[in-house]
Amino acid sequence: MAGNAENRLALAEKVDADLLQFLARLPRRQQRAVLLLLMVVENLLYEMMRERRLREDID
Amino acid sequence: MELGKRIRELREEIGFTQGQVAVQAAVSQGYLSQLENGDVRNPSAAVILRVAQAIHVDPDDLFEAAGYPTVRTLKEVYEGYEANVDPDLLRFLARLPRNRQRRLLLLLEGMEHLVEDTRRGGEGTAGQDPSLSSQRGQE
Repeated sequence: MAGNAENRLALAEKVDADLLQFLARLPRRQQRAVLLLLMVVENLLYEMMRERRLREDID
Repeated sequence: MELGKRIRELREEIGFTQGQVAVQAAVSQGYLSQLENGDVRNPSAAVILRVAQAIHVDPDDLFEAAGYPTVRTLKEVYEGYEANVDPDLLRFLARLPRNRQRRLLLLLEGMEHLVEDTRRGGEGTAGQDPSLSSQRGQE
């Protein structure tokens, strides 16, 4: 349990303090919405990159 | 607690005179007296460190009293934040580079301002977007 808390702290230290502070005051439901949004954007960027590489290969 | 008061308290606890501590810390007795009376603005980190060694205390005790951020205070701040952030979100953010984290913060702040402006502008009007106004209501 202590190890888990230590891991979370280690993760928190990798995140910009102002961003962490901003997120900490959002309700959990909105934090989950931010996470989903980030995952969608990440997938979208990945797909766009993949498509560009495929097009470059074809060309 | 103020730095000067803290130094005096810790010095008196171990029964040292100002003269003894001043010699150990390589500062003049007059300077130490000014420090204890709160007459020195922004004493250097080097002086604080030497005084801490002279009175045998953890330098962080004095750095915190002087208002310097220490590893301990930063850790407390981070512990407070991480406890309130969704663990999956924390994991996701931790693997983003710092510059992207800053851009994300700007984006989120921009969205927050947009929501606030929309809410303020739409107050009392029939055209208000209920999904936007209800978001702030959850806080």
